[in-house]
Amino acid sequence: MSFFDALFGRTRLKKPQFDPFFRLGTSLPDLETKGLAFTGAGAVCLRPSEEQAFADALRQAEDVTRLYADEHKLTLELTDDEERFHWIKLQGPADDVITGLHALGDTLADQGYGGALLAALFPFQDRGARTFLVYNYKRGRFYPFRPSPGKDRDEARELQLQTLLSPFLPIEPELERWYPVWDNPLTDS
Amino acid sequence: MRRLRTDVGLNLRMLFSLLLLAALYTLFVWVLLQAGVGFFGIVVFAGGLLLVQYYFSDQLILATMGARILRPGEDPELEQMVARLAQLADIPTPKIALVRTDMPNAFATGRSPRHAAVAVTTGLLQRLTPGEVEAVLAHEITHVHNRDMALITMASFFATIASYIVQMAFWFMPLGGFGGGFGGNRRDGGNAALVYLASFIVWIISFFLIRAFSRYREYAADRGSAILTGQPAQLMSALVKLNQFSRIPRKDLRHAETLQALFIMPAATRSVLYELFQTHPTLEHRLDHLRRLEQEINR
Repeated sequence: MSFFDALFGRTRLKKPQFDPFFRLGTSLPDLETKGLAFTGAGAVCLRPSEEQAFADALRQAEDVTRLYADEHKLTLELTDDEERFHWIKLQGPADDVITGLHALGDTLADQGYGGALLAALFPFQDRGARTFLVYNYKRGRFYPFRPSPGKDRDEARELQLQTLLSPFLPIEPELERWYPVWDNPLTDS
Repeated sequence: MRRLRTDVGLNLRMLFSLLLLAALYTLFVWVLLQAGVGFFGIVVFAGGLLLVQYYFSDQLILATMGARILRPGEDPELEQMVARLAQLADIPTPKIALVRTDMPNAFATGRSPRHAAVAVTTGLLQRLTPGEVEAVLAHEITHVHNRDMALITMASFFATIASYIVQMAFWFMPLGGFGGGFGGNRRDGGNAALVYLASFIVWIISFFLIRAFSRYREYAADRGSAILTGQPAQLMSALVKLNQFSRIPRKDLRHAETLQALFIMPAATRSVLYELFQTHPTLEHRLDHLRRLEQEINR
């Protein structure tokens, strides 16, 4: 946020970045050597706007994703969570899931609603526990989120993963931005 | 282990902040006396509260943190570590308290070495190596040895009074202010405003002075840890770990994102100003300080 935006109370949503998104697909074999196994799912979380134009844009983006999903035999799931966030979840082979979710974000961004994209989540299996890579569209970076029982998180392993994964993926260096995403639709997939 | 010399610069800075605080407090008391508004009552009130704080703060803090005092024999290794460090620091072995949380942290409490307790979290014991745990405990033991809890409480005495006055005035001023009331003459009104202004200024300046003093005590405790363990590097790696853990948020992304738009400063800004508001020096400054100690030891 620039000084004048702050002064005049202007809210400008940052444009989403998509390039690092694709790097996840090419880095999967490397991640596997570090113990992270892709579990065949991914989801985009976004904050729906009340405007009609947004609803149209979202429907269009979801149609694009649905076409893609049908073509590649992916399972598409749309859910709204209790925090009033909308989730688009794809299940299938890694490359297809990533491409499908990218198409969704890209279509939304084309319509001028890229700012609504909050994050994309990819669940992995790591040492017998569910571990997420959270993609922050606005920062163009990933960070690990490893929940442990009792709404706790395993920061020790997350910090290890930061070191292990940074040769392959842009990892968020500011730990203050490693926000957890509790109770997400990918928890059991 | 070679002996570390006294850090003259650090001691001078402590002395300087205390002198400034003393001067500020003297001026404050003088203004209050000149104005003559219910000063005695405030001192009794604040003094009473401070006495309560002085005598019960340790139990209070342990209770609010959810700490449980370990029974002897529950964790022999930890007990031995604390006992050995206390012996090195020449203080009675403090009680050991355990806080059940994943977040690695430690603190010391108690008005005197005889009534002290050092508390550690389960996360600290799990995530730090024994060497790092020892370095952190040595830091807390030094706080106990240096009587930092009592010192800070006492240094805050008039600051506490000033903050009470400001807050009382804030609540009662619309009703006519203290001393003045509806029937009050103009002189009383002027006095009340003067007392309020003085309290406000003392409150703000003392806040920064006490914070500065607290940071100097932290450096001293880091130094004490280095002297007791002879290994500043252990404390350095422990501090880096603790800092990393505390930076990782617990608040859900879906709540945080909407909030962040309201902040003028980005969440991660670390400016010179930032440190002035903190009770602890920044990680970078503490590491610099410990690095110097390490060079001193290895010379």
